[in-house]
Amino acid sequence: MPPHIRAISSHFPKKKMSNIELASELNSWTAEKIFEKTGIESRFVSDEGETAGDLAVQAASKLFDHGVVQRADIDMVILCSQSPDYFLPSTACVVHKKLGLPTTCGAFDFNLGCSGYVYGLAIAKGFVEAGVARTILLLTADTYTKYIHQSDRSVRTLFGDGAAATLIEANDSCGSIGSFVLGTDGSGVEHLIVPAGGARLPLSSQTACEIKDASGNIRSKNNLFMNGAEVFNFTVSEVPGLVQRTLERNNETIESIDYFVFHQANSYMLGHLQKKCLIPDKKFCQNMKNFGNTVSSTIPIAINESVKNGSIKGDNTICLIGFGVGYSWGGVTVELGKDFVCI
Amino acid sequence: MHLNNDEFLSRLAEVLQVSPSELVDSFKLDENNFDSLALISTIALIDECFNTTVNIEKLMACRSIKELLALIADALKS
Repeated sequence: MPPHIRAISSHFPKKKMSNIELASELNSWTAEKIFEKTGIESRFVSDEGETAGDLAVQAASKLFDHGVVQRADIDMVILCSQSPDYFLPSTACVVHKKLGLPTTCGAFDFNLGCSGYVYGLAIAKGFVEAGVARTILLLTADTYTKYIHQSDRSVRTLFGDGAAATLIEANDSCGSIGSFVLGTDGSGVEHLIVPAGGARLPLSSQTACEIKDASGNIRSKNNLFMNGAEVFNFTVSEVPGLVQRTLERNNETIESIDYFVFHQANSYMLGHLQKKCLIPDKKFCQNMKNFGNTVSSTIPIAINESVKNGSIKGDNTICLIGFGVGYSWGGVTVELGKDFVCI
Repeated sequence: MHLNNDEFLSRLAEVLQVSPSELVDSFKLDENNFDSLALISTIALIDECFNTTVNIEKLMACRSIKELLALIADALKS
């Protein structure tokens, strides 16, 4: 039986940071300017000791608490994160224990950022079609704010923490996951990176040395670095073609797709891509205002918000486009189906 | 190219918060608000007006309007 997305739930840390708070700390941009440049009004920030695994557990628990699925039915947990609880074991194993899932359930992590949700759907679809699993929990969770220097407005204004849980089930009655377009350009590695902390550059007193860049932002090699101009150039070059190839592979057009959900990077970038791809306003999702860029969780969070506000209906065909760190990208079309549940 | 140049310069003037008449060849970018945000807006403008992208390191190294327009012309040739 083919797979489909049965349900999505999300979870955010309690601590919310508004632009007003951020502006008073950064002491450079006003709250209005942050919103004008990013389209973000507030973002959630994890507490010390609150991990991506914790957020994923909370998101997944909502699916069980609402009776969408039973724990015993889950036969695979796939967790996408770039801020894992440990180097090892996999955060998926940590989450598996905390959720009380059966030992017959497989569990593993994969490391991708803003393309991660589309890749996760591709892995899940492959598992179902190959008969490896029937009921899959795809978890996306990140706490990028832990990597961000408090005085780096270039990333602090954009990123927020959060998690989403997507239930993918074999089902031949409604809903579908279409064909995928995936791609990579490893020349982008240096442009969105936490340079230190892995085997290539272990943490040391040197890596903790803070440097002020030409724009006045402060960070060390232990922190998240984003070359915004290079990343923007990459998206302008790659994403319109990705949209086109995704539509062609699924025999769809801009006109036949009901709604487009791109990775919610920032409103300026999305506005430019929407215009370049000639997608009408009513079909294009912009949903980062209250969450910021939550990395691999932006797409499932945006799907849920769009279902809740009526932009996506049960039998709609939607086009999902993820792109970012790596550089890595992916596109797919999806029909949610009338039994879709958003929590 | 000239039509695109005019449109590009008019909109670049908005980005740099100067009068379009000031954007002559010798206009000094590095002395006039060509910061990280202006850089991203310029990438978007180049894409919209010329449907191309330029090398970011070379874009950041542009010191005048003349150099910027030459960089775009090179990108359009390649």
